[in-house]
Amino acid sequence: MSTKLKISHNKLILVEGADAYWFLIWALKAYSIEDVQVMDFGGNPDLFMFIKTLKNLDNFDLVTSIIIARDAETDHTAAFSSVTAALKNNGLSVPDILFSYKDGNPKIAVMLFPGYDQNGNIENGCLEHLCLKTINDKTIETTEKYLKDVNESHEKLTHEHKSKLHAYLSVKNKFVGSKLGEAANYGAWDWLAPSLIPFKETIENS
Amino acid sequence: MLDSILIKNFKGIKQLKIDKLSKLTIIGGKNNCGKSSLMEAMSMLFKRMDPNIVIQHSISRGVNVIPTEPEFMWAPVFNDFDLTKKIEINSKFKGKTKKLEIEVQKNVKRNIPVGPLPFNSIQNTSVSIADVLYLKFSDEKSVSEKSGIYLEQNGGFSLNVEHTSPYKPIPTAYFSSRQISNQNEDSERLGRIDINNNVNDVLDVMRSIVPEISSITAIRVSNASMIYVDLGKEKKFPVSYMGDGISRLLSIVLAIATCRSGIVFIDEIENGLHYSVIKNVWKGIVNASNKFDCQIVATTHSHEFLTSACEAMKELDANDPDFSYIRLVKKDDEVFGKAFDYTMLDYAIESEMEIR
Repeated sequence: MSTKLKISHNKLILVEGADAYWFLIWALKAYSIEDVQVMDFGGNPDLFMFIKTLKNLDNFDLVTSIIIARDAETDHTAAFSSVTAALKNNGLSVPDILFSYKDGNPKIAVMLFPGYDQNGNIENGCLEHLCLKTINDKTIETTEKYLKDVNESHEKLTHEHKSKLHAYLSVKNKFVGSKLGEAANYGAWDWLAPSLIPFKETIENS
Repeated sequence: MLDSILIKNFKGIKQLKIDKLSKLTIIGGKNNCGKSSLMEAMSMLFKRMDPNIVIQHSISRGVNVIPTEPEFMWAPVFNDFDLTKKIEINSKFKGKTKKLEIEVQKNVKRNIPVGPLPFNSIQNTSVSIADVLYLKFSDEKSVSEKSGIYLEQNGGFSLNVEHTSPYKPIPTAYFSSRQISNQNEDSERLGRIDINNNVNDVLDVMRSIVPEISSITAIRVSNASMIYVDLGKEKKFPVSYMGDGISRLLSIVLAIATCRSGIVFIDEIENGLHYSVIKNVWKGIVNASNKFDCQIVATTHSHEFLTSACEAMKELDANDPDFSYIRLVKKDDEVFGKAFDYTMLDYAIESEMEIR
């Protein structure tokens, strides 16, 4: 059987990279959502070409909704603009705001990780930040102490959020050696955490 | 160069529009999506003055018995076998609009010579009534040709030209998916290439697949022409015994070299070729196409062929090549052409998308 990428559902989530892909796969399973297909569009610069090519695949005409999900990185406004440019240049609907659909054929929404902060403002950052926000486990405090010690005495950490996430996973017997996406499968992230609500609702509304 | 095409009611195609054909165009899509119909429509556009064109296309599809009634002879040319649907093949060739319309005209009367009679008579013809495949070819301004293809009583076909303007035929060649190399035709082509001292160009392409070939010759033996190659052995070797793939490739390259500023259509280009040589075959075809300014339109089912075509383009260091892949999709009886330029095709292959 061919393992080539095909459009098999009429609701799509296009995500940046393998970790995000597996994170969304397990999120959908956790939320019992079965009618949505997740696709990895590679790196952010590839989004325009991915959509352009996707439009030529079988069944694109049957697609009713597309969510684009990627990291906000250091500038969520620039990240959103980058996505909307890729959509516009492919002749698709362009949402005005994050986590909200723009009507069209298909309708389109954009989600940026990690999403909103406690005050309801969009945060810069990435999927690791979002995952860390879902952890409800005292072990994370020990991890933070350890990283603080490393940062001050040994090595200036350049990707603190990644170090924190992997340090946490490495001290949990259930998740040791796992990447972010694999850890999602083993239940590392609390799918009912408040920080995940806008993501869950956007997917449920697709 | 054929720039674009719009086909209506031709064989498996109710309507198909392709906005841009490239110098090198590969056509793909599932079975029964209209690939062969598209190739035949394009071929018919250029071979419209060949009365055997319809029967040749039928034979190349493996049909070897055709009753001579119009509903069997002409109906397969029309979409849904419906003789009342007029066929239109609209095209842009070198920027100029050309249109071929095909329909069946019923009960057309025609005088046919019946040969010398055994007594003095002024009557030496008889009147035949037939259903005729009527072709009308026009450009932007006016109808430049009107002709009819007649089925003769001996089972052959003839072309009755009512009106034509002076024109220079565009050299084209058509290779069906089932076609076995025609040694006589190939020999004639090789002869014409030899006259122009271009045999080395053919040899270069063939050597990319069979490096041992040092020369290529058309030899006539017992009323049949055959192409022989020198493989450095005691005797020359007939190409037709080197395998279907090699033989077919040679036929294609010979056709390209004799269709300068024309078009070669190749249905299922990968037929007979081992995957390991496909990249070199494509490189050879691209080089020959450039050398002889010949447009290539080829169909394929093969993902390996598409991958190899992209790899070949990279290795040829073709910067923004005039190359496209058109994937035909049949939906609700209509055929759509999804166009991939080189960058898109390369990206789709790298991303492992299903584009066959």
